[in-house]
Amino acid sequence: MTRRIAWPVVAIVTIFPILRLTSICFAELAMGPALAADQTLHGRFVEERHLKGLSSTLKSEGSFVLAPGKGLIWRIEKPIQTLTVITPAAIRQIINGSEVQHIDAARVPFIAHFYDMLNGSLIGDWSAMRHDFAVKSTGDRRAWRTVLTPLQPDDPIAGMLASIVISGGKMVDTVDINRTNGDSEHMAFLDQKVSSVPLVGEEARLLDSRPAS
Amino acid sequence: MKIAALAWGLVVAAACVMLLFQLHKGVKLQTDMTALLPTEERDTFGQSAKDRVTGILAQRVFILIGDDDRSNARAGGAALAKALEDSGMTAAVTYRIRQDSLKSLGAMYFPYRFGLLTAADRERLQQNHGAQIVDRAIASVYGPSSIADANLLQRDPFLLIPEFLTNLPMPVARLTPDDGVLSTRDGNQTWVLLVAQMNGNVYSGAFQERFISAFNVTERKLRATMPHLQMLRVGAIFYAHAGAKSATEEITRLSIVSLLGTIVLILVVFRALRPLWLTLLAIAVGVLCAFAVCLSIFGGMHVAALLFGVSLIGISIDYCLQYVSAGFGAEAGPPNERLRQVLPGITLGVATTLIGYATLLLAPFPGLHQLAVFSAVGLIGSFLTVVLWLPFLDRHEPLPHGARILATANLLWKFWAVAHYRRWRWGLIALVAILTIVGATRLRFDDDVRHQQALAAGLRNQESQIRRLTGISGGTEFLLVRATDRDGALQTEEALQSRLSSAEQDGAIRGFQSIAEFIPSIARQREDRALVHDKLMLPYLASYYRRLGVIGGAQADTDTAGFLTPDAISDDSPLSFLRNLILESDASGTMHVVLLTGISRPGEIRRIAEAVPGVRFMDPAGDVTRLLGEYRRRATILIAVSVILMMPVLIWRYGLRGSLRVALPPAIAVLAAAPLVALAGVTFTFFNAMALVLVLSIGFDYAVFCRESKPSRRPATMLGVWLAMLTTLLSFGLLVLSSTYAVHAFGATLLVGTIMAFAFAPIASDPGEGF
Repeated sequence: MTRRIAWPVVAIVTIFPILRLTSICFAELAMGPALAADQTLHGRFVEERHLKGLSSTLKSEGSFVLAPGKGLIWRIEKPIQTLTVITPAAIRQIINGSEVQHIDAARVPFIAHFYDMLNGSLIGDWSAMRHDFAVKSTGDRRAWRTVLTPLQPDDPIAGMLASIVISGGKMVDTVDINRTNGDSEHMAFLDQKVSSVPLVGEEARLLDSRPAS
Repeated sequence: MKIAALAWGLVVAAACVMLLFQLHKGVKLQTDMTALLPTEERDTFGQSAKDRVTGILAQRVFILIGDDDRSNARAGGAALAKALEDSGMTAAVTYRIRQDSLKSLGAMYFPYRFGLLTAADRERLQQNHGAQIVDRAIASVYGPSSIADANLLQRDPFLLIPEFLTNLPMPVARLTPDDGVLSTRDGNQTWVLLVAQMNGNVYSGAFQERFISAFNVTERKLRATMPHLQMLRVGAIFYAHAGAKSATEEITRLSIVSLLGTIVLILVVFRALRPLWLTLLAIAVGVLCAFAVCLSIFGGMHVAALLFGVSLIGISIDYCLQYVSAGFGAEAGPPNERLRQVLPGITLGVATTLIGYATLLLAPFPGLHQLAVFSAVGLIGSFLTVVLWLPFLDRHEPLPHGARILATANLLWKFWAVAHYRRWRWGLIALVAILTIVGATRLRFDDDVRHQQALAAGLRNQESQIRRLTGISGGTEFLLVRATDRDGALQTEEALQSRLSSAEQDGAIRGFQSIAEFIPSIARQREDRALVHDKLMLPYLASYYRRLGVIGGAQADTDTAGFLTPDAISDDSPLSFLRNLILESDASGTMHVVLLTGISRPGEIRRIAEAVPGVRFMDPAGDVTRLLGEYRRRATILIAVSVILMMPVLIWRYGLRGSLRVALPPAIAVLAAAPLVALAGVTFTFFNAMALVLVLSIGFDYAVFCRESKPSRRPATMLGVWLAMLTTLLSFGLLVLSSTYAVHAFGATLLVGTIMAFAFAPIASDPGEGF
């Protein structure tokens, strides 16, 4: 009976960011240009999170780097400075240069699995998304809107989401996530630039998924 | 003579009655390898724990069902799960997992959350780095991986429970649930996992047969509709079934060849079957006496001692053949006269062999004691049968036809005696010497029990594929943790944890599994609670809530209800596998198990176990390996000792020079056999050593026969030696073809050793008698 899993908990911790990215990339693919393997996407974000029972809106902003095959760097600059790095190998959270969270993909295969989805959507294989969500898109190439709704409302993970709404033009502009418990969040993406210059310095180091010695 | 024969008949009849009486009472044949250990080294307490743990591990099977088509893999998994459930041979089949296992796990842990810390968080709080946890919580609330809502923030302000849960060392973590079934993808293939727990003895042939045939029927049915479906399996029952099947087939094949070969040989040489019956009778009487005596002395016998014992008694065939070969030639007298001619030779042969076998008594091992008594008694029984019965049962007339055969048999003698072959003789000696020296440099010892048995290669492939896909690995090693109460056992496990973790990082083990990793001891929960309260809640909670805007301020729901104990794990919990790790928990004490996998440096684990009081390292395979090594060393030493003990008898009969000549052929055989088989890559194991015990006795027999033979009787003597050699090769030498390594090594050593003993036997004769 060696089996079964704490995976759902893990999933909850890890699914949303990746899901979110997957959706972004998916939308990008559906409506805009996909990233090539040697390209990277730099940009800024502003996020507002409305949690029922909290007196204020949790607002954060910062920058992000997305590199196909390598991973994502999500850098919150305000209200506190933190780095979240998602690679095929692990999810890491770094505050003031010290790693306060490290979820290894070898132990939590979910990361690798969703990472595959992310990568898959970058190269055009988004069948995995269709397995979990109903996808409905409206608009044209310059202004579009895609709504994702979970196919299995009683699924312990997808069932916590009411819907994900993504809108954009050439790039993804906004993502809205609505949860069944009434909480919601809104993300806006700004200053997005696709570049073909390889990553250097800290960004390259953070996305280097070889185990650090 | 008649009276003696009758008396021996009475003795054999008495042995028969004794044996029947014992068999009626029920004979207990021991099969447990550790029963061969010296008594003082046995440990009944650890033994029962070992039996129970290995029982649990052995009764489990893991099956991965794969197909390019996800729905095929799932249909296959569901069908197999149903078939196994309906078979009545499983105690539990796990295929579909509960969708709400998150809830049940969360529900179990949540009430105790302020006493549950990861090792890293505990260290942070101990070193007053609580601010890091606060920062992490804030980052989590804002960050892209947020699951926090107001409810959670109020009840678990610093998100300690998600941190704790994600750090639980869950097994089979490489598999993810896909629509209620644990699955993984590898390339285009989807694999689903099924785990079953048998409810019968997986080592019983009947149970194996029923289970495997039910399994195969289902597999065939599924393949009929889904031809690309793959099934990977791992479990003791598959290995045991494959092993038993190949061993049975092999033994059947080899025995048929051996029996047919022996019959043909006897028929060709004697043109009659009577010598065969006589020989079998002598061996049978020997085994009967040996078994009867051993059972009344030891009350039971170990199956290994029995098997080796029968082989050792088999040497008595040499004495029979000496006797029946004496029937050749017109000058061969009546049976009594023939016996008189061979009696000195076979008596000395028996004497030296008896000394050789009795030497095994000198080692403090119960297995060798049984073996010594069994083979010595059996040998005496066979010998007395040859001497007292065979002349009466034999035909009176000499065998007239054998002139050519005798001439051919005598060729070996000529090779050593005729001056013409002088160069060839030295050539042979030089060749053997060179090959032996080269072989000696390649000689390797190998006692590892895992190398002695042949595990079916197909199954081993499947096992390594399963390990690659899931991380599941079989292992029989574990640590036994004993304490006066359950919390004491958990505390001991906690003391082990950090040591085992660093051993894991060093690569000494691949992994371990203990209850305390999932359910901390009450002592630790109490400490953690104090840490959380003093170093996290008190200094940081108020400002943290203000910062996030949690309404109601520091009104956190911090009440806690008692402590989490292993009792909280329900039958259908995702953690129910942990219950197998509790062996005993009652007023007399507690016994827990820490499972270990992929041990590469057992010495390190042994040191860890010694460093923590109440912990013992249990390594069933390692124990048997050490046992085999110990037996191998003893057996090797005893071979040398037995040669020394045989010498007085030989010196008494042949003088110093003569005795050295007689000892030469067996010495060459024993010394050369192991290096020569090493040339073929055969390592030296306990089984080779046992073969050498036999080779030594065989060598002395052949040498003594040659030495005792008068020149006029040499052809008949040589024929007897030829036949003895050929029957030995047919019965034991054929074992070289076995796929079981231990048997193969035994056969190879015996094959080469017997041929050497045979080839050099004429050297033993007295040169003064016209060598």
